[in-house]
Amino acid sequence: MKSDVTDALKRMNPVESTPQAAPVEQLLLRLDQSARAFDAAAPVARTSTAGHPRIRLAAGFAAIIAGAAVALVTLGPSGGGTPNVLADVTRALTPGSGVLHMVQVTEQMVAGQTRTTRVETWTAQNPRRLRSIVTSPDGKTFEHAFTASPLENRRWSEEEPDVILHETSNGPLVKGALTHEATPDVTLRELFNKGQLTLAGKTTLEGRAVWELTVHPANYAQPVFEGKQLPDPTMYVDASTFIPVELASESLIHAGETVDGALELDTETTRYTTYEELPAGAQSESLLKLREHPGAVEKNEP
Amino acid sequence: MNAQQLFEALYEQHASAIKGYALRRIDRARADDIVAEVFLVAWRRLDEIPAEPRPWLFGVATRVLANERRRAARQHAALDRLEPAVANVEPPELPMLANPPMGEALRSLSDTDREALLLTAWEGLSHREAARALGVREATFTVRLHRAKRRLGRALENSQSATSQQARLETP
Repeated sequence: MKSDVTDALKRMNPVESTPQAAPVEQLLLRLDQSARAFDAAAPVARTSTAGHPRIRLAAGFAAIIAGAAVALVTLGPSGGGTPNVLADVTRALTPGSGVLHMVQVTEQMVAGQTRTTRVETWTAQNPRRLRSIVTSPDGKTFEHAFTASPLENRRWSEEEPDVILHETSNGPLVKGALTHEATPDVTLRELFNKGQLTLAGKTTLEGRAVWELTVHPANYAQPVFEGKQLPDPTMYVDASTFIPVELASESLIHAGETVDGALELDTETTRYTTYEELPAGAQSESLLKLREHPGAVEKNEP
Repeated sequence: MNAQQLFEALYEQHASAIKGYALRRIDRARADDIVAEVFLVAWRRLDEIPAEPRPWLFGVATRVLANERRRAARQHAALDRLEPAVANVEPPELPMLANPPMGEALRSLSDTDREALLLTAWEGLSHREAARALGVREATFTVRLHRAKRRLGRALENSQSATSQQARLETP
């Protein structure tokens, strides 16, 4: 039914071919009239790669991939006796043969409003399996289970308590939930394995001894907001177990409805309230499967 | 590449898609104005445009169009006070579709539901791109799209049912 609706909608597209836009010269003339001469009116920093802070951050991380392990080497021996925290974190984040159980709670504050999202995941390797339960800021839950072999996705949401969708491919409908490539554990591993982190020191966070690491990919600078450059994101890991405790970041997002796309400060704090590896076995394995939802009907969606 | 060249390249690459977006939602006479407004914003914000500008441009287009609709609504409200017969025409949100029940079903949806559907079905944006255009997380967008499809399906059924009922009534 749903694909029928989508297909019907596509068939109703009132402009099927790509229309011709007016020549750019007309717009340049308008710009010229209103602002006079590009070079005089243009913003200072103009490059095609200077992008949205979030995207630039992601791109910054991605750019580090080629130089993976460099950060490990550079952090290792530095400071004469400084523990190789990054290597220890990497070891702590390396998945074992059991089921990794994680809970992360993200508080996002934009324009004085706080939104909390809770993500609980169970992940396992070989073949890759995951189950996630996302609780959105409005309290609604969304559950998703994935197995790479056989390739199956199942999901259930509070919005549709009577329907479970079953897909035989990793289709776009399920992809949006939490992809198996971007679960919190994978994101963290990438951050530590491929990112450029600087050990800032040992501190305490709500009474807990933690290592503080600054996230600063090469060729990336945090944007300036209200005349001040935003600080680099900070990751805190437990001082003795090296598992993640908190990731704090500030960035700019388009939060409003303003025509000129004004940016708002977005302060996010992600707390990793649970990070544990459950032993391999039937009991842990059952946690990777979608829960029973009484009354729900399983439907195939190609 | 200087700023003007960058801007021209951006325009060459994306202006047609933005015009298509405008034409699908507003009359032809105003579509070029929408495109111009979007790229004027792009010019002013050139240093903030991401490496993947498409979702960003669609996001700006969404806001420009919403603003245009508000402006049109205010104009109609003003006309309403002066001349009710003229002002009873709603500001157009979508051009007439070949399938009236589908048009009616689409119009019955909220703006957010409709945009989620149309950005993917008509503009061909991926979930990730559409989520960025609307300033929400991909997971949020996916849920929103799923819900919008369900609502459209229901609205379409209601609309088709009403149409066939009307046809039966009109049949001598």
